[in-house]
Amino acid sequence: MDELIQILSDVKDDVDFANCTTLIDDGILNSFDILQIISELNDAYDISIPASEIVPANFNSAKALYAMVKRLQDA
Amino acid sequence: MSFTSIAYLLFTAGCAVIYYLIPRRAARYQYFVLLIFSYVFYLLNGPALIFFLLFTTFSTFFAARLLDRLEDGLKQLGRGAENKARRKEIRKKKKAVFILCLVLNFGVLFFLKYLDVWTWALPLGISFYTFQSMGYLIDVYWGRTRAEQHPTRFMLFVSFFPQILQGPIGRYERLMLQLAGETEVDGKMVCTGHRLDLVQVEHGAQRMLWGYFLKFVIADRAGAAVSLVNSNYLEYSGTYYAVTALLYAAQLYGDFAGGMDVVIGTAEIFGIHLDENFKRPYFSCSITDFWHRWHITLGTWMKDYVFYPMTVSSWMRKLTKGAKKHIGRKGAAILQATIANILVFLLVGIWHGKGGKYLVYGLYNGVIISLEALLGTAHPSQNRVLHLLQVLVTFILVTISWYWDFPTTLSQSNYMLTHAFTDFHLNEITGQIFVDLHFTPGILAFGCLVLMVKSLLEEIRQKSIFEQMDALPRPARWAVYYGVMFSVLIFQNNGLASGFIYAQF
Repeated sequence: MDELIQILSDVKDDVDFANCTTLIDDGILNSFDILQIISELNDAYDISIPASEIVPANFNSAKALYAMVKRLQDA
Repeated sequence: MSFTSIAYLLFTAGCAVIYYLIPRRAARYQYFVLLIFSYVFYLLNGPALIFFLLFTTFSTFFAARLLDRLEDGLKQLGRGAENKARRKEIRKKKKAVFILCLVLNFGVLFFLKYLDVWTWALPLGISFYTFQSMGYLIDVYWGRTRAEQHPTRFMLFVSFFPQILQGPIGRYERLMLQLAGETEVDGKMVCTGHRLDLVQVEHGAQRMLWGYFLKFVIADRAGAAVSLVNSNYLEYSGTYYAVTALLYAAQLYGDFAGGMDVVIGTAEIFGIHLDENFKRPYFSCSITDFWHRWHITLGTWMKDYVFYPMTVSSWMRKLTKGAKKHIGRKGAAILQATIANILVFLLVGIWHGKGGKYLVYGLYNGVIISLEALLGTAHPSQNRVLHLLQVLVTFILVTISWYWDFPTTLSQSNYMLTHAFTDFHLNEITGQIFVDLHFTPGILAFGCLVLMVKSLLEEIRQKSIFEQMDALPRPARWAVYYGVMFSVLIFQNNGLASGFIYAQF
């Protein structure tokens, strides 16, 4: 989880990723940030995030992102 | 039947009366009222073309059910290595069904809209209902939602009469349950139907009334002048083209956003909340921001079903992986977004219709959005003066983009746009313009002023004017209603009420 937050902070350093749960709902992340996050997560965790996973529920918080990464790693 | 006709109001009122007369114990049949009225509405508008609506409805319905069944089969097989070949086979089948349905439906749209073989009128709302249905199909294919099991419910999802002509493009997950009158009670779906709620009906009627104000007082009035210049454009100087583009900015907003208010208001009378399509677009601080506020449901459709799938596709990943080594992470993301944005906006252009002007329109938007990502200017500045400047520049950029919309051909577009700059004479900006364009500026100015005040109140308080009006005492509220109503009746352009621009897409 810490590693994930580090990755997110590298993409966008002015966001409290550890606590924020409305990253998409409040428009904190735009599509451009999302693209960078997807690319970084794909490389770091050796996964391939498909378009079907790009929904607000998966990107609203670091916790949700972590859960998605785990799920894709197990698949 | 146009949204602006008395017939439409009577039709809606008749539908609402029958809808709310359905007793509670028959709640699960309530949606049939909407379905029957929706099909009658469609038939009244053009009976011969209903075949296409039925084709999209049933090809999507059965394809989605098949996808669901194949997915269930996949799950039953489990993850064991012994079933690998079988799993691969099912996945292949799923993909084939999905692509076939997609190609057939978009193929019909393309054939009717872009090839000159078809000489009949276009089936009404075909762009809107095709996009709505295909969004649903993709959701089922991706496993985001389960397939609808009731054919009649799905028929209503595709044909719901307020939204079929010009959107908003609805999403199955938010719309279907509302249409069917189902709510979640203790984790179980229960059909409670919709009960008559006078506050809700008042809200719906408010929205509709405001829509008519935008349409009659602003759009049709500005539209008459736009048509005049458009049909004889060689007779006017560039100054007139600049004024025309500004008038068109008012017309298009009044027409499309006004139409949306009528649509969303009508649906609200039935207790159904459609997705919003506009959020004060002329206050946007960038073209990127503009597309988050203008025709929102088309933008989010494109983002979810074209932009993201394209950016995570294997060819794009390969491309950006290579680029990352040379231009870094951020550079690669910009490249990725640029390619996807330009392609998406070319599609948005094509969606609007055939002809070079729409392609240029799409390209223009795509290129600016990419530039904004590159320069980092898509977001509002913290500095108020700079922010205001951003809004002004964006408004000018958007107004320029309309030159690839209102003229008839691309060559006319280019002619008018260049002359608006090279043949512009400040001394022509006099009252004579209004005389030449046959319109009284006072009424349009009044309409735009009311719109401006409403928009400012909403932008500052970040709350819709309709919610804000709830706080007013009843007499004040009704005074506003009467004021708007009389404005609509007095200031409408007698006999000039035209159809809606977006109904032709």
